[in-house]
This record gives sequence, structure tokens and C-alpha cells, in this order.
Amino acid sequence: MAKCNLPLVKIKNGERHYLKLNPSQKLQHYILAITFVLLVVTGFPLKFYYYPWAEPVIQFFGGLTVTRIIHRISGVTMVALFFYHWYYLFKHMFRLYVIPAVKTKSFSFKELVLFIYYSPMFPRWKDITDFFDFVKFVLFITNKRPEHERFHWREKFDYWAVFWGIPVLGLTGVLLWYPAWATSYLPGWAVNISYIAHSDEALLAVSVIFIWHMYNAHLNYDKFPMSPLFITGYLPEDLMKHEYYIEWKRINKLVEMDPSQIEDLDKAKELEKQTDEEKIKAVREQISFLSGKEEGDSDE
Amino acid sequence: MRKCYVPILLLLFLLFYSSLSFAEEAILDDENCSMCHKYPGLSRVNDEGYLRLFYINSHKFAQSLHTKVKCTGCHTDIKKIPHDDAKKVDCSTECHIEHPETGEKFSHKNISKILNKSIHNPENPNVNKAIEEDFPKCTDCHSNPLYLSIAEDLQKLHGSRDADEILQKCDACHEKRSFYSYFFNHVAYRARHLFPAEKIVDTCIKCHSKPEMVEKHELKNAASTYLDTFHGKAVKFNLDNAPTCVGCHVKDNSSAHLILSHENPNSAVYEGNRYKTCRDDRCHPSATKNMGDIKMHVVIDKNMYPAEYYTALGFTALTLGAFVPLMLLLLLELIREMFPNLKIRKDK
Repeated sequence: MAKCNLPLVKIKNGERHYLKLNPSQKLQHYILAITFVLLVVTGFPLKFYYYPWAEPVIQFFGGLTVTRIIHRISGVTMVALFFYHWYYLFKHMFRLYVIPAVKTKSFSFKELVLFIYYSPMFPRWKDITDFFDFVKFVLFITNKRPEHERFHWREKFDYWAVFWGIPVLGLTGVLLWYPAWATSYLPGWAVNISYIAHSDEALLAVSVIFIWHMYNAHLNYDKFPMSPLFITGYLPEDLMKHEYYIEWKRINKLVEMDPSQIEDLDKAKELEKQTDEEKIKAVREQISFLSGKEEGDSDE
Repeated sequence: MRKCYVPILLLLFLLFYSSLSFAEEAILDDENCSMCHKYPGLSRVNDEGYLRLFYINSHKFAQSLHTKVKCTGCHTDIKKIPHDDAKKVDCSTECHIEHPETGEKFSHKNISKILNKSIHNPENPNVNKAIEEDFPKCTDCHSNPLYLSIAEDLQKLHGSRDADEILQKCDACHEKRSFYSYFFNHVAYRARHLFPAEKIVDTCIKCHSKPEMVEKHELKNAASTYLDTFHGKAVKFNLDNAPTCVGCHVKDNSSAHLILSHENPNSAVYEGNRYKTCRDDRCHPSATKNMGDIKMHVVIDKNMYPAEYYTALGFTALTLGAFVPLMLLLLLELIREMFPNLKIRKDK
């Protein structure tokens, strides 16, 4: 994992919490979520124009002209985020592997491929076996749930689905935004199929995100009613053991070797706690400092 | 005995002067049709079983486009009171309106001539099925609209003021307010769109969305396919300059009565020329030839438009293929969670 200044484990209220999302990832996710919601709310009244709620929603934004503008700004932001994420991935690839390997003269393409293969979100053979183990579990064939790493197959599915969805929606979106420019290079039917593709892909994305992703992220048996992961970036220990067992073991091993990666918030709170005498003393010192200074001034 | 003359005189007075209207703009009714037609209850069930209402609200009529026309100007077959069944009005009649300068009698017959050159004439060779009764007559698209909305409408004209403020200026030279307000309404009404955009679409929809018409005349359902496009939605949501049927199917500077068949090279939507219609200054000024090929009336049909059909099919398959399995897994997991230790297979 990329080393950031955050502790791998935080202890709060006697419970250990494990780092899963670093601040950059959290921010990217916030931007993705917000642009997604804006795009849906400005886009669906057009897609479903025949429903009675369509007109009021468009009026809420201030009419169709403004609705379109919001839709386009959100769309551009989302595509920009998409490109930023590519940069983010390559930046880490260089910073964590390529440059150190080259500098220590131990670079090899095979190892680079391994680096990519074992990076957190990359789909691996294990995900396929995990999926089948899961199917066996839900069909009552076994009582054992598969053990997962930092991101399990559902999260990888959601992640890579976005890698498909944003290019499709972005590209078709641009063709629909500038149909005159688009048809100077492409035949007319390209705009017609962009219209269909944009509309249908949007519905697919919404149905998968609003139901599947929300269920996995917040509503399943472990996390109901909400998981704080997207806000804090940390997961509590019981959830880690239940769903991310391999990652739980991995982080435990890391903090055993390097206890400075643990931040004990309980202990810190203890130390910060002042007795009543100490509190009063601090107040009186403050007052005497300020009043003493004023007396000093007036003497002159 | 003299006292009893008063109520009789009163009755006679009321009888003879009942046609007097106290509104400033009185309708021209020297034949006194209002004697009967002013009663709201005047109605009859016709031979086909429909209730026909014959009430004429003279105040409303006075505010309408046809206010200066006498009743018999359009209903030319009424010769006496009480009259026989009136025939349907022929809008190309010369009514008694005269041109204020030339004295020429006015008539809509020029419009009929234009309409006969368009696709809405069953004798046009480009028509698929020449079934006369399906083709529109004047009243199928036009009603007798009111000027009443002028005041509010005018606010929407850029930089305009209150109707009364404008009319005040006429008062200095022209005496009769009823004359100059009529003239003002006549021009101001046409300064805005004759029909609001949504109303144009609603007018054409009356025939062009009926499934039986579509079948009979071997057309696509022009109305519903149009409403599915961005243009149709833009008109519904009041986007400025959004094109209605008339916006694309009528050539610039030509009458809406002259909608030509798309197979006619002079038509605004003729294959090779379509992009010029798109290229209007208010719409897509940079349109090139291929833009005319963007279909506005898409039907998802394998034979008609395969590209769109397979795209729609592909995405439907993708959506269901992703959504259904995921939902299945979700439900299965929920059920499984109710019985965490209940495996069926025995331990080895």
C-alpha cells in the first residue's frame, strides 16, 4: 500500500479500525458520487419526460437550459476525474515501483506486470474462485464464506464497471452535445445510436449503483444501516475479520513489525484528560497573564 | 287602466332591445342570431348521439379573430329564422370583410389552393393511401382563437410594455378605441407565434399519433417518435427555439399549409437538403451534410433501422445480463444470511 501519513490501525473505544481508503481515494470517490448524482438528477427528467415528476424537477433547477448546463458541467468533471485517476494510477506505479527499481538497478518488466497484477483493484484468479465459493455458500453447499483481500470481487466489479461506463457515457455525451461537429466527421446514424447508448447505459449504471453498490456498501448484514468507510476511510475490526480476513491478517502483521503504525486514540484521549484542578489552574493562569500585562502597561 | 300599460311597454322594450350588448366591442349581429344563441342551454343531441352545443358567448366571440365577421358571413346557408340544419362552413367562402384600402372582399380560398399543393391533399401522388376523410380540413387544425391572452403574451415580447400603454399612443389621432385595439390585436397576435410551440405539436399529434392512421396510411408514428427525440422534449419543457413539426417540415418563408412530401425535392426535409433546414441561424449554424442524416423519427425495428435496433438490443441485453444476476445474488445472500450454519452437503 502506498505509504501515507495515516496510521494503518486506529484504536477507538476499545475497537481497532483498519485503514482501507486513503484521503486521495476518498476525495475521488466523493467527486465521483456527487457528479454521478447530479448527472442522474438532471438527466432522468429528460429520459423519462412522460412521467409527471419530470417537469417539476426541471423547473426546480430553473428550466431546461440550466438543467442542461448542470448536466454538462457534471459530465465534464466526471470525465476529468476519470483521467485524473489514470494519472493517479500511473503516478503510483512510477513512484512505488518503477523509479526505485530503476534507481536500484533491479527493474524488470516481469516484475512490473506482477506489480500491476497484485495492485489492490486488479482482477485476479482469486476473485474468480472467490466468486464461485460465494455461489457455493449461498446455495447452502458450504458454510464457509470466502476470505477476501483489501477489495473483494464485488468492489472490483463496481470499479471496473465505472471504467466501462464513463468512456461510453462521456463519448456519446460529447457526440450529443455537439451533433453538428460530430456529423462533420461521422455519419448521421452515429448520433442516433449515441442517443440510445447514452440513455440505456445511464439506466444500467443507475440501477447497478443504486441497488447493488448501495447494498454492498451500506445495506448488507454487516454494515447496515451505514458504513462509515467512505467518510473515514477506516473499517472496524469485526467487519474486517468478517469480510476482509486476508487484509486483516496482513495489516496485523505489518503493525506487529512496526507498532508506530498504530494510533491509539483512546490512550491519547486519556493523556489529554485534565483533572478539574488542572483546568481551573489553566484558566487562572490565563487571566493573571492578561491582567498582569495590562497593569504593566498602565504603569508607564 | 293606464298603470297596466307600463309592464307591457317594459316587456316590449325588452323584447326589441334584447340584442343590445353593453360591451364596448359589440359583435356584428344585425340579423339578431343572439336572440337564441345567447342562451347557454341551447343544445341538441345529433343523429350520431353527440351533444352539440350552440351557445355563442358573444363577449368571448368579440375577443376572437373572427369578431368582425357577421354570423351569415361564414354560415352562408342560413336564410331565415328559425333556420334549417346548418351545413358545415366552407372556410374558403368570401365573407363580408373588406380590405380597408382596396375594398376587396376577404376569403381564405388562397390557403385552400396552397394546401392542395401540399402533402395534405389526397390527390398528391406522394400520398400512400388517398382516403379522403382522413385528410385535414380547416377546422381540424384551426379553431377560433381568442385575443384575450394578448396582454400576458406581450410581456414575453422582448422590451414590450403593457398593452394599454401602447394603445394610449393611438388615441391621439384615432378616435374609436374599438377600431385601433382590433388593429393592434391583429398585428400583435401575429408578432408572436400564431400557435405556442406545444400547441403546434398537439395539433399535428391529433392525426399523426393515431395508430389506426399510421397503419392505414403506411406511415411511422411521427408524433411519438418525435416526442422521444431531444427536440420533442425541448418543446415540452419550453426551451427557446426548440423546433416543432412546423419548424422542420416547413421551408423558410413558406406557409405552414405547404408541407411537402419528403420525397419531393422541394421539401424542407428532402434527403439531400435536410441539413440546410438544420442549419438555421437559431439552431445548428455549423451543420454539414451528414447532419441531415440524423434520423428524427427513429423506430426500433430490425428491418428499418438495423444500427439503432442492434444498439438498443445490445444495451438491453447488457442491462438485464448485469442487473438480473446481481439481484439474484443479492437475494440469495439475504436468504443465506438467515441461516448461517445450514449447509446441505454433509461434511466429509
